Amino acid sequence: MKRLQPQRWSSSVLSPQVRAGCRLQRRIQHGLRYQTTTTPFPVTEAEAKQPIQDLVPPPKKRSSRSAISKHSLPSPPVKAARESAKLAALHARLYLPARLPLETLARTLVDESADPNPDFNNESLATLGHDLLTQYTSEYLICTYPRLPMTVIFAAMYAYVGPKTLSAMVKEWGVELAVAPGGEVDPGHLQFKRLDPGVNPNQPLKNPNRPYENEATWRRSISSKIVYDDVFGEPVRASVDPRQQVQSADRYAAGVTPEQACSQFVRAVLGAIYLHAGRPAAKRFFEQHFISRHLNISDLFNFREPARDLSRLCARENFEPPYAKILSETGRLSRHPVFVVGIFSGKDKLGEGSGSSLLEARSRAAVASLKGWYLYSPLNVRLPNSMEEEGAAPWKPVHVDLGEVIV
Amino acid sequence: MRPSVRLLNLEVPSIHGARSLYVCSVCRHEARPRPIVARQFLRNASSANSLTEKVRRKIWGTDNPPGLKDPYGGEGVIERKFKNKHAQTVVEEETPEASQALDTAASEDAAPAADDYEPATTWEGLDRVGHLGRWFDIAPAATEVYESFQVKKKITKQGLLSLAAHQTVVELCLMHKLGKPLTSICEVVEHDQSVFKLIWKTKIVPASNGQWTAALEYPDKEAEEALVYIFEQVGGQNVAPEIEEVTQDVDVEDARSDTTDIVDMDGSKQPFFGYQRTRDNGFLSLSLDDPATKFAFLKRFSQLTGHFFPDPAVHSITTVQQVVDYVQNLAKPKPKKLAEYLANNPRYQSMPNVKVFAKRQKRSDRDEELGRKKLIEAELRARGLIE
Amino acid sequence: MTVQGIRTVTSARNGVGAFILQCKRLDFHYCDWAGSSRGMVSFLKHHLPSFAKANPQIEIRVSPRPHKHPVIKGHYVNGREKAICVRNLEPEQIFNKANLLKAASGEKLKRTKKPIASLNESVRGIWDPYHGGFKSV
Repeated sequence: MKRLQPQRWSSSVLSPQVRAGCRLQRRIQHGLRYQTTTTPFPVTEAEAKQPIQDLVPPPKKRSSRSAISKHSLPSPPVKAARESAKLAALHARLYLPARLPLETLARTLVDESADPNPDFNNESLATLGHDLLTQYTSEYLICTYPRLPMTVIFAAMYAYVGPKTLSAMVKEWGVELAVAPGGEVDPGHLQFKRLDPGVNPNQPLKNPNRPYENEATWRRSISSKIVYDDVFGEPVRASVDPRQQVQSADRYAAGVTPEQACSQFVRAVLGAIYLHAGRPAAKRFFEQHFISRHLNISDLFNFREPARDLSRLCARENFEPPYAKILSETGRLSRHPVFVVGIFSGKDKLGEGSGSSLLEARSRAAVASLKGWYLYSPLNVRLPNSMEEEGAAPWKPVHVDLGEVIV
Repeated sequence: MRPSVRLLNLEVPSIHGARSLYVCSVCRHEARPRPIVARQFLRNASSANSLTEKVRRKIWGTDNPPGLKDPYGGEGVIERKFKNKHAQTVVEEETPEASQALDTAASEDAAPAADDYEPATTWEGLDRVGHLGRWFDIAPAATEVYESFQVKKKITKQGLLSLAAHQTVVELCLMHKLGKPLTSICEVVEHDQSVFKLIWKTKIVPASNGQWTAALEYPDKEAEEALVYIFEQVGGQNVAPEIEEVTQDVDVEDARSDTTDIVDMDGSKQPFFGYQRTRDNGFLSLSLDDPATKFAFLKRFSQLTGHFFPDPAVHSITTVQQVVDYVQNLAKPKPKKLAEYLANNPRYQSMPNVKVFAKRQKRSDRDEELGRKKLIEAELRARGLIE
Repeated sequence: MTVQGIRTVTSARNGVGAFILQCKRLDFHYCDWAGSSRGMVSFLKHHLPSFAKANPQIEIRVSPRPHKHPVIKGHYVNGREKAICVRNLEPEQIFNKANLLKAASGEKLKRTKKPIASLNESVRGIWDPYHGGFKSV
């Protein structure tokens, strides 16, 4: 597989931003966006016949744009970023590297629903940031807990980098949300177009790539979720063909929820750090702001039949079949009996639990022994992304287990 | 005044006689039993055998004591009115005498015993004080014109200030050299243009001992002679017209080289004939330690520039440089508002996280910052509440 | 489906990774005319640049508030505000007040009974009678 080179994609971020005033130029800009990748995508047939040189907007147009009043712009002008004290304070509060300019930070705060122009919104940065975030998080989870079931990994991913967490982080960073986007808004506010009241934001998404998508009652297996769904095990929005991306302005015409906008912003910040300050800075930012958050993974399990799972697990791992023994009990004939049950495999005690009935105590003991198995964490974990650094030691494969038992 | 008259009526029932007027019981009760002495004072203030009159007679020991008959200034208004009703004949006898006495006293003061005095009957022919007509139409006399010592408009430009200082220094140096009283230069309000050009060309080379006499460096010998000749006449009479001929040739020679420095040649109204800056800055380091020189310098300088020097400033000044600096600092207006001060402060401009507002921040400013204002205005406009 | 994952949200531990200063904005209000603002005006002229340089993560806004006493207002990440009236105070006292607002968390002041608050479970566990030395009942 060809190695990904996100640095090469970043020309739209690092190039001087030119505000295209009229609609025609904006369409041309859409076409231009793909010239940095391998093949330029013509947007319409008429444009497809034009030579590429004609598509380039004249750069001198920029000086005449200064006469445009702030109110006519969909998002704050680029030069307003230097004047905003809020933005500078946010930059310092997040300990962002000095190589990340305030203008880019201002750009991460503009959602696609606020400014459909891809040169001025954070969509491209957020795409990059989302990929980095999910890569780092999934590496961390799989290497630290190599035996976690897939569903728990989905839940843990959601807990670390899910939209709810990201929007909570935005609040904790002290970023304020603008009421409505516009050129006069302070660039230190997160700008997006809000959903109108009465619109259901949780409409089920349909992925046309997935087979039997229309069969709503069919069970969706974990394996199919791994293949077709996103990192949280949720159905993804259909990947948009760039030919149809002209309608991206209409895609968010209805607006987005604050949760979506906040998560796009956090992802875009990580993407911007990656592009401007490099990979080490991005990793440091990830460790300081994401992995350092508290999550008790043992709370994420929800077993239906722990005793059966445990016996299947022992069979799979060639352990002796587990059996439960009462370790102690009190008040068997009273109103509040307590039984302490241990589960043994051969002479090894796998786990123990207490309950007010024998069955409850046994299932608790089975849960404890299953969690003891699934939550195994090796010492001195080395993540695969450490190989990206210069002069890294040779890679020794980490242990990743089979995962959950299949019943 | 009616009630008191009524009460008075009650007090003197024997004179008046009529008790038909109604008086309430309280008033009657209070009015009736007056002590006798009080009634006497009140009643007999002007009568012959009053208590005061008796006392006066006793004090002086005669029946006809000197001084006013009534030391309390005559009758009160009420009593006079009351008396008019009853004793009119008595009053008529007394008044003409009093008025005549007043008239004679006044006439003695005004015209002391003029035989041909004729009292005026109309205002014609009398002396007038002030203007009864439109006094501002009358042209002012020569003595009434005020000419200020200083120039009318203060000079604030830096180049012009140093020109004035340079001119003052040259003049004072010449006066020093000629041994004339220094302040007499102030009699010459403005030099002729050719003379000024000579002054302008003269350089100042401050001597090491700080003497003003030897500080001048003339462009050539003719200029020195001309200047000395001109300044010898200062204090005596004005510049003689012959001198200008001498200076004319100097003008012609250097006219081309000077045109670059002269911005506007029709400088009759402009100060310093349109010259904008001095040729050298040697005069700035001259010291003003000598009090007489300092006084003369400041007097001439304030005459030329229109700036006044208060005593503390005069005290602290020791060189010409300080004078020019002082006047320049006066010309700069100080920022009064803190916001202006902060906006001009370079320490604040380097702070990205500080924002200084010149005006009070209201709720509408916050609305605008959050982008809410345009929604509010659009809604108000949709409902027709604002235009 | 043997085991299901439960969706939760990670909780922040400020200072474990990055430390986010809880004071996000300080407003300095003064009056140009009134005498009670004299100390505040002097503070803004001479002390504020060093204060702002030392705390770049705080947005500092300076705005006049005519005919009112000078006030420092702190805005916090949790959405609360704290305001301190600094009338007739000297610049050094105002500096202390600004530091007080900067160091505050924005929460209401409350008495802390335990020296440590932790999200982690107790290592020792909760005592129960069934473990340890058994005694025949």
